[in-house]
Amino acid sequence: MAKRISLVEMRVGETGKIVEIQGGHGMARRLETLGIRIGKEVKKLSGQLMRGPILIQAGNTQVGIGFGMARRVLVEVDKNA
Amino acid sequence: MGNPNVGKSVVFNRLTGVDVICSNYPGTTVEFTKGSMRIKGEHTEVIDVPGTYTLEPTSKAEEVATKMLREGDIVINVVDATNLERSLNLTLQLLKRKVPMLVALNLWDETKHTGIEIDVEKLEEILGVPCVPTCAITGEGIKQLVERISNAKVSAYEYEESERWHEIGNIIEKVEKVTHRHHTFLERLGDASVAPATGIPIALIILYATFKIIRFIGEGLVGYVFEPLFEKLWAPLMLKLSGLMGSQGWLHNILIGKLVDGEIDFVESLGLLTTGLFVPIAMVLPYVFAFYLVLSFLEDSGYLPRLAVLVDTLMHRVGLHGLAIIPMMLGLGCNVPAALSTRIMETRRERFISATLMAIAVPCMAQIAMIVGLVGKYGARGLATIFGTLFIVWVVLGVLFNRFLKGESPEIFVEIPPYRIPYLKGLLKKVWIRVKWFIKEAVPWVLVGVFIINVLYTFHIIEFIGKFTAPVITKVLGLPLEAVGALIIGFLRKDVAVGMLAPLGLTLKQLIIASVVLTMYFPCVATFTTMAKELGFVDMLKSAGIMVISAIIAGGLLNLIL
Repeated sequence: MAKRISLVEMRVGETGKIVEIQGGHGMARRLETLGIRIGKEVKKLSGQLMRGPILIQAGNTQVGIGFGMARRVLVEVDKNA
Repeated sequence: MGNPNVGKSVVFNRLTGVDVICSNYPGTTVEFTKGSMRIKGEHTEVIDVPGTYTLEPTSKAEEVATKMLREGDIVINVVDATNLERSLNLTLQLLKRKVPMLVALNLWDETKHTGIEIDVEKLEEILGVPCVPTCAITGEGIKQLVERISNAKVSAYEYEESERWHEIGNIIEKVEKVTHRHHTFLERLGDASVAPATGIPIALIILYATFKIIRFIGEGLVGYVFEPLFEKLWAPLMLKLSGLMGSQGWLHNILIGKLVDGEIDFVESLGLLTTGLFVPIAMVLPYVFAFYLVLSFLEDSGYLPRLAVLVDTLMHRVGLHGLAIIPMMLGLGCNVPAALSTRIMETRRERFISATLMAIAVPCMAQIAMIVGLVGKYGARGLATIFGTLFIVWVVLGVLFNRFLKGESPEIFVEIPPYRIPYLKGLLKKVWIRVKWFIKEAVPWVLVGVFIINVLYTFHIIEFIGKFTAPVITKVLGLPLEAVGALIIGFLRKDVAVGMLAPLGLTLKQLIIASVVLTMYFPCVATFTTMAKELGFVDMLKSAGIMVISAIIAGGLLNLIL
């Protein structure tokens, strides 16, 4: 079984499928507006130092997500990627 | 209507010919703009609204958008053709509202080199509303869009709310084909400018270059164009006029001002036709132009949201998140649009903090130009002290706000648009809109300011108020009594106020203190009214109180230290 990690723990360049969004309905809805939702493939592009935002690519959109929010988005990383 | 940063404003400009500012970052438009066009000879009103990802708003700008939906008879839903999936989320929500609509598939040109193919006919068939591919920036497809506006209709499309994403997936599968492609140079640059190791050096280089370019263009225009123009052509003319009026009298004083050694001194004479024209046109305008040229380039390239991601950690220290860099950057041009742009922030607390910090510690380009003109003569140290102090004030106040204002600052969550090479015509047009705005809004106020100065001097009002405020002005700040005149005028126009310091014969230390205090103590009247509208009256009073107190503290400390 693939391991579940958060966007924060993901390494730059890795791709994974979102499996869980921890947090209120509000947060999930906000993420959803930019197409970030369960089942979506995302690629981590970069992470800032000192708990800065994480940058991911979802489809054709690049999104910057604050550290606290990114920590609550869990993904299953592709093994063969 | 449509998602942020899909080019709604560009479409609007094309449809109506009304000029609104368009940039390459989400949240350029925070207010609705009305314009009109003719469709088949009939006069039709068109409204440009701020972008939104959803009909359940998360910020004030999005609220404006959802409210406007009720006003429209027909909705033109502008979508990003390269981001169909995300755009359709809003489109489907709009379809449910049962308003007649049509879809403009904008940024169509970009689908080609991103390897996306969309079957427009099929999309039209599924959605049940007209769909038109457009490339608004060059104008392609706009004519077809206009032709089909009258075909706009209520869609019969139905779906279950909980199945919305599923539906979107189905639609995408049917109409869109994506072919693989290689990374372009701009995309690589995009990655490099947000990775911390390369992003921070890149940001510093851009900052440095920005500064250099503004100085180069600004100084060049002042030194080689405007100053010679005024000195060689305008000054002799004014001297003649002065002679005709007998070199004295109240009318002479108001129009020409005081002669310094029998000559006109454009900074110190303080006449409507001398200082009143010289300050805004020859001292301020060149820098305003240079600043907006660079800012517009940064906006259109798509760099600003990346900068927002880079500075996010710093911004959290002052109770904001990265996007708050946008009001701060705009504030360097003029505090008024900056105060409006705080609407992109999600919470009331953030809007209060960002607007207050901006108004206190970010001097506008007009004021910067005057400070540079006045203090720059003494070398870079004076300027460094002024702007360094303002930055420290910004940080200290921000940290205090973060500590003592209730509430949390939300996380940054922002779409990063692709880098685009700015479209030259659009860019120049935007600079022109802003410069025109400056001339129309600022120059009259400068004239009013200069006029009031004359009234104040003629009736000895400055001395009267001077005596009143003497303890603060002279004891705490170490400034001469006459400086109170600048503080009064600073409420009207800060550039004129800084100019008023010139004839007072201040020392460098006094100039530094006066410049800092003038920046901080109160916003100019235009910013004040905008802020009062945005924050509400009570919060504006709080904000103003903080400004006065922190200006006195900062000025007092400088007086002790320097």
